[in-house]
Amino acid sequence: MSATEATAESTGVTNLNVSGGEAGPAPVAIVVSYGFWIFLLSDIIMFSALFATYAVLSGQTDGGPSGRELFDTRNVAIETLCLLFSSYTCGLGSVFLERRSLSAFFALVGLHGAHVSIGLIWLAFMVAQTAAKGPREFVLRRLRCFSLFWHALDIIWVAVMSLVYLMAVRV
Amino acid sequence: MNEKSKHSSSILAYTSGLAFALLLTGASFLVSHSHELWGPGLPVGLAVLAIAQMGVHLVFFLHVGSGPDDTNTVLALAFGILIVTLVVSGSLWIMANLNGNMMPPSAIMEMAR
Repeated sequence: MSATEATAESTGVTNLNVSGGEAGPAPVAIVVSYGFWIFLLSDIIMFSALFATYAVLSGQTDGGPSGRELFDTRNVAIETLCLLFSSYTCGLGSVFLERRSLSAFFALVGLHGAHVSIGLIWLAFMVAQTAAKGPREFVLRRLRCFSLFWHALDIIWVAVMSLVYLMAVRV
Repeated sequence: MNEKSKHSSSILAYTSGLAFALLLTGASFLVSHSHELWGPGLPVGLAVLAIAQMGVHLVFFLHVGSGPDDTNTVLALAFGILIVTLVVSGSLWIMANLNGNMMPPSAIMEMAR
């Protein structure tokens, strides 16, 4: 019984090797970066719900101050440049406007700010890890994931900039 | 040699990506702060510029390409774009419809009387 099992197993393995072509599972680097890409896409989908909410609600101020009166687009331009150059010294969690605004605005821009903050913490952690452990395989993999995350944040910022700030100007 | 040329080509990709991104950002700011575009067409113009810039980010920064290694990534991206389009356009469509069917405030006041 155990002998037949063993032969079945061994033939199974041989068949797999013959038919599979490439042997074994995909390398960790590919699996991890693909999984991280899926996470980023789901993150973007979460943002899309908030973008839709903001787009629906942004005009409904019932006579209150509109985006045009509240936003200073020069700050937005400076922030965009900072993010494009990835100069992380720019504190993006800073205040965009004062009081009285729609909670949709804070949900959208605040969530983006939270992502930026988490990214900054992650960046500091990666700097420390690279300094301590050197460019080893898993360090490089994490750095690649971080770079994906940071560029995805850039993409979301492009949408925030266009929808929230530039469309509010409406000359 | 091979390693070095790979290096410089990726640096070139990042630099040209940055240049494109800066160009498109400048264009969106210019368009929204001047009268270059017809007023009601402004949101469409900004959306086009934003989508173009997202494409630049995807290709030059996130390295989404057409190579055989990227098939899974591109498929996942296509699915993500589908969901995002459904969520955003669906919400806007439904809410615009509801808004259009709302009774004007004066009529509501009239009924309450």
